[in-house]
Amino acid sequence: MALGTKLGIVASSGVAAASFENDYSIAFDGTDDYANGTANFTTWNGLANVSFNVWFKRDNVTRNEMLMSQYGTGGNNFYIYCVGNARLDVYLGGGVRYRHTGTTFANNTWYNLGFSYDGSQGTSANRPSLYLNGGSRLAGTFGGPTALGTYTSDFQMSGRDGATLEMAGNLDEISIWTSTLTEANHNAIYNSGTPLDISALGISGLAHWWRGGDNNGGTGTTMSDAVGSYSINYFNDNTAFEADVPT
Amino acid sequence: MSRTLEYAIINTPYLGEIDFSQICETSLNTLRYKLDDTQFIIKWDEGHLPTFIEDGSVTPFVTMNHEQALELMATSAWTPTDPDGE
Repeated sequence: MALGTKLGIVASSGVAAASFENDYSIAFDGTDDYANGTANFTTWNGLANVSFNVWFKRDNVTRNEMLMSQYGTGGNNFYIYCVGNARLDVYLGGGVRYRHTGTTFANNTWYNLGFSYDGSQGTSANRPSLYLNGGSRLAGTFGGPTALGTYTSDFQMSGRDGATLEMAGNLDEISIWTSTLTEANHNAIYNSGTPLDISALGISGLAHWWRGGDNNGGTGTTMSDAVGSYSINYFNDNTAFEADVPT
Repeated sequence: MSRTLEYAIINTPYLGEIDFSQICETSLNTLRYKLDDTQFIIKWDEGHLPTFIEDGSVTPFVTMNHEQALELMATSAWTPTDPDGE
């Protein structure tokens, strides 16, 4: 699908800001494609309030595959792991913080996944929250510590620790936040299924935003960070941008 | 994916015979290995069979298209169900 998303964002002053375009995502073939930053990813080390949001599309939902991860010295810090079409795990800060079952995903379909963590909540089970397509907090088993640990490792998209558990499919508009996004925030990012300029939503804490190739002209082997300074600058094998986006 | 690729499973003892300039993979360190490390997967653009296979220096265990490669990669020999036992 080569359709792009083009939205004219109008600032509250009524003056039209730069237009937002979404024409590309990053694609992985499911055998040994992955991408990562070559520097250590330290953004959420020691924090109590973090979130992420990502659009994903899986070619075959029966596969076991990791959409993203951070793994290295100190062990796991983070992963999103799809266990076939039966389970979705979010691992963060030394353990699985959210395990959701019960959603039936479809092949070749874009989904928006949002995760928020608030270590200040007194009850462990209230700290993590997981949202799909801007909906209410998903059912599942969950819990976690008051703050994340310190990890020395890079951030990887598709698979973990190099060529293991790679995904077959696409990722787009991947964002990391140093704040706890609310259900309403994730719903705003979902925007009824059409990505938009998340930097214009007025949500604080946007630390990294990888656009899936849109700020790289849809070519090359680096996915720049649109708001921070952590580029995904190593593409393994056939990893490439593709004109396939949520619409 | 826009490119059409061909895939092969190679037995690990052939590692030293692989010319990475002829395949999509770039080094020993970025290959995907079977969980028991006895085999690895490589790929190349359709119609561009690597010379190390063409001249018999390396005999693939099997060659596959993308769909077949995905099917194999999804098996328990290549993908752990629960990588951390959680």
